[in-house]
Amino acid sequence: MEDGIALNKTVILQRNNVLKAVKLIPEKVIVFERMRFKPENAVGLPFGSVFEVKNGDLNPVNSSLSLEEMETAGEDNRNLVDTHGKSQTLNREDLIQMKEDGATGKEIVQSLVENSSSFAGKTVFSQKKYLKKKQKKHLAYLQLLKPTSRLICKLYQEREPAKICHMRIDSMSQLLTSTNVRHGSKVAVFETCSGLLLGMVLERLAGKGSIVNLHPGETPVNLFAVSHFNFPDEYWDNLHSLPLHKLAPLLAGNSFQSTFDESNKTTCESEVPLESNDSSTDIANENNSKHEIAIPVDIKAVENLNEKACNGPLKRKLSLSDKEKTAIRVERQKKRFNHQKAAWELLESRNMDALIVASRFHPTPIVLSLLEVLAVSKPFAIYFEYKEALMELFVRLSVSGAAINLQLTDTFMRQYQVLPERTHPHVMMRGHGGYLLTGIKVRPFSAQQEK
Amino acid sequence: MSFNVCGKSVKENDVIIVFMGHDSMFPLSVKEGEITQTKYGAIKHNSLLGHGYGTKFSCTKGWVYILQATPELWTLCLPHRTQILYTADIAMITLQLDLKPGSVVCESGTGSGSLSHAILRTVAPMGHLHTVEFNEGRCNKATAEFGEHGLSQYVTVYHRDVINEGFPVENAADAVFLDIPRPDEAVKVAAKALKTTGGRFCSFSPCIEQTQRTCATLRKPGSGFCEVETLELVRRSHNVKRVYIPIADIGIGDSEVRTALIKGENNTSSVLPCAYEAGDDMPVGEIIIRTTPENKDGLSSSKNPKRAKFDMSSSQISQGGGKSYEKGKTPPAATKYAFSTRTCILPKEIYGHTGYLTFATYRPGLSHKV
Repeated sequence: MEDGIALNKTVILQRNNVLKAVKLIPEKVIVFERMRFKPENAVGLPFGSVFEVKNGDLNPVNSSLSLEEMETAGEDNRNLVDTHGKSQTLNREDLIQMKEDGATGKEIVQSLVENSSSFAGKTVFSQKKYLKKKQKKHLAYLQLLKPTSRLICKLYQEREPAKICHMRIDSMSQLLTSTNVRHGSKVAVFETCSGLLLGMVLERLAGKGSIVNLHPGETPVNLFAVSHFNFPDEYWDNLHSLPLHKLAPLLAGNSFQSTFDESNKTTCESEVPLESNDSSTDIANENNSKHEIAIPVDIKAVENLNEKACNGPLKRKLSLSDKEKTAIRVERQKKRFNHQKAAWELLESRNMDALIVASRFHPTPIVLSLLEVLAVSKPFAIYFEYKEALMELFVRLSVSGAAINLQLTDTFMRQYQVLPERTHPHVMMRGHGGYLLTGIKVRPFSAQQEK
Repeated sequence: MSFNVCGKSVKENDVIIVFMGHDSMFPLSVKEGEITQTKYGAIKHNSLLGHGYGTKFSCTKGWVYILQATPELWTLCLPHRTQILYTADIAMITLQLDLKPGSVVCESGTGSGSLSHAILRTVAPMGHLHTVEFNEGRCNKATAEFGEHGLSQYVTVYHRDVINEGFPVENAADAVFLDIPRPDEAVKVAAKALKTTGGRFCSFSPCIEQTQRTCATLRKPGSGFCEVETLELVRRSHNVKRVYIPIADIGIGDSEVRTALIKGENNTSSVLPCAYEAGDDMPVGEIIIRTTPENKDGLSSSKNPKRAKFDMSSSQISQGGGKSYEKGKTPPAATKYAFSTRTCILPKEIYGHTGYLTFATYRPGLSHKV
């Protein structure tokens, strides 16, 4: 991947520990933390650059943000009188006026300090605290960072924990480590975590190996977070999606062809057949195409997939003729069909290297079925938000004898403020990070004897 | 060779894990003609050859499982030369250092190689690990181990003192990991090893004083480091078990207990509110009736005590089939009724602390965190 900020790529915006992933689209205004700006000025600069928003544009800032140490400071708070907000002589209107007159954030903070009657009497620590608070509010600074697993995890954890089943970063990290995911692994994943886990696994596969993404419903709706990673196109070729409900027919020994024909009959009765004057004569492919459009799909996921399927930046939909649209759609459906076939074949060989499950569904039926496609002596890791479901699965697995080294764990994660004379754990922290069940699949003794 | 490439069955020179139980496993290098003794009897290496991974292997006095080696299993059974890092910390380090295939990593000290194996798994085959150890014996042992595990081409072990001599590479690493007695003194050499375009830094210290000095050094103006964060992980492994909580005799008869315990009928009872979810008639656990004393005498000799389950209501789910696979006691004898539920508890003693992990981003020439 080339370094530096570029258009049509995703970046992570950061301000005051608030993160957001956005794709930099030329001329498109980005709204972040009540700031509005266009991305152009950032192009070509290294990741990590700091910008100030001015007149709807990004301006690179180079100054260090820590203000100079104040000259006067009190010893302790014995002389501090609690004035309940009366120590500040500037009011809201004054500040708005200053902003309208074009004062910079730094100037505003400076005048807030000058107009505070209690500031000089505060200790150095609380002066710093005050400044930090005011800077946070009045400096329109932000930073553009390179998307990595770490930042995308953090982003979801802070902003949208419900979309990743309230998984905390330590659980995510352990899912990947305990399943020995590496370059070239064949990994079966069932997740309802917006694609975060898929993205993390794809990153560790780095273009070799494969993921079978089993997803609920008919189309993979869990690909959104994968698009944040800026993966090269060939990474996407290793991601094969298959609906989870095709698993039972697969395990029953049905063929791919018969399973997909069957589902077409049942789900595609009402829809209009696709009038493709395309050269695709493959019957199965056509069946599959029909199958595709019958389903309501998540727009974002499709857009995303669409873009990847087209192997290049997606043109504006409006600029495409109907014929082109159909061609793109057919191409996309063909790709998806091929991926489903690849997924099917991978699972059929029952030789997956790792199994990861992190969903909002009860894990027991999913895991008991998916264990069938995992090779023996290979690890699996299951995340669930509540321990009760995993306790049940734990007992089922230990009774069946199909797994050893079973461990039901949770992790206590504590973040620290480490400052001279002021080191202590954070006052507020995430209380709950979910539970993990990890183990290694083995051939049960009875099965071995039969052999 | 099994760390790098894995076959379906054991081959000569494979490093395998002999699994005898949760806390009892050991690594074994398979050599033709050798014999290894275990508490379940001898393992003849010749008969291991061709044995399928993940299946049972019969020794002379019992059986064991033969597993493929993974960095995680290796962590659990490697020969300790030093204190080692465990899975929770390793996982966090791997993620926070942004490691992926192709990353170049500098590590000091190598120690027993627990983290090194996990790093190698993640960065191979395009990446490389430069690992520095100041103890010559440990350095040689680690080199030999990596060789035996088929990892030599991805790792270089150096015998040197990182604080005085620095890392062997400059402007080359994507990530630096320190686990040394005075990490603050190695911050400078870490910065030198990292790519000038930026990278990630981690220091692991068991003690808070080291951590404080490291953070102060990282935060010094001009160090090039920013986004300094410190955290600590305690991973806890739960035991799943069934518990029986005796219900005290408050002087009411069987039928009254029955009414009292099942909320519902007239909705007035609240003898045992803890046994129910609010507004739900379904017990979270189940109420069982103790067997009569005569039965109990008969049971004490039996390994699998039968319990007469008090049939509380038709809607009650019968759990687990009453098998004794869970760790747990048989119902206490003191009371007639007991509340039974499945729970998980922590072992009596757990790791309460491993070390503080300090992470930072190296971004020379750019301003501090917003």
